[in-house]
Amino acid sequence: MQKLWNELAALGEPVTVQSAGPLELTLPDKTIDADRTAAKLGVPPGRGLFDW
Amino acid sequence: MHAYVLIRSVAVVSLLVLVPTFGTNTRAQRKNKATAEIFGVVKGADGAPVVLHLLALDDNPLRYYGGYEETAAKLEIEVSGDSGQLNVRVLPDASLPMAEPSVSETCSKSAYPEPAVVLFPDPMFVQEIANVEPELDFTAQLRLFHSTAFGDRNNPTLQILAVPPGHYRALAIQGPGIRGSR
Repeated sequence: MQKLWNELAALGEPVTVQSAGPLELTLPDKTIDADRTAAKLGVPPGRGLFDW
Repeated sequence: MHAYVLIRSVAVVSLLVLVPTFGTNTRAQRKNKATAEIFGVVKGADGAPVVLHLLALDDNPLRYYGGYEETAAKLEIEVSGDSGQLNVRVLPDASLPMAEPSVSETCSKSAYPEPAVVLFPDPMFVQEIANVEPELDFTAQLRLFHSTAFGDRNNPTLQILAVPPGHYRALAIQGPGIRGSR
């Protein structure tokens, strides 16, 4: 699970959160990339990537 | 404002005082077989929101039974008045087909895609602080932030509240990848 989360995190966009005011973001949908990453690591389809 | 307190034997008393003050935003999360953590936002003395994070350090120091806490040998409390907020819009992936609800689920929300955003701390694993074997207990030293959706269901705005300032990786994916299809 740790390896999966590391690889999923690598797909994410770097963000710096500060306490002053809300941060507005627009992110691309990485569903396909995340599913592909999970499949490479043997996570079956339909299984939550963040179940613990 | 950061205060960082390590409480050992007095954790039981502290928790009994703190838990009733939690608002509806507070939730307990099951992290693995026996450990738990409490994270939430409470109102400070001046009315400003304060992020409260209780993290168990022992293997089995804390149990919840409908709000009643049994034992706590060692508990780490982190209180911060500084927190951030993210408002996120997800750009749809043009390569994904539009969801087509089945006849029996035309009115069911589950037939539609549900974009969500997860925040990963960056760097994700800080082993020198937790000093825990990562493969055995890595979720106890890591908390991910999940978004909640509001607004137009077909084009929702995703929001993540009470995020401690710092560096993160933000990943947008569609359900059921977030929580599974249970």
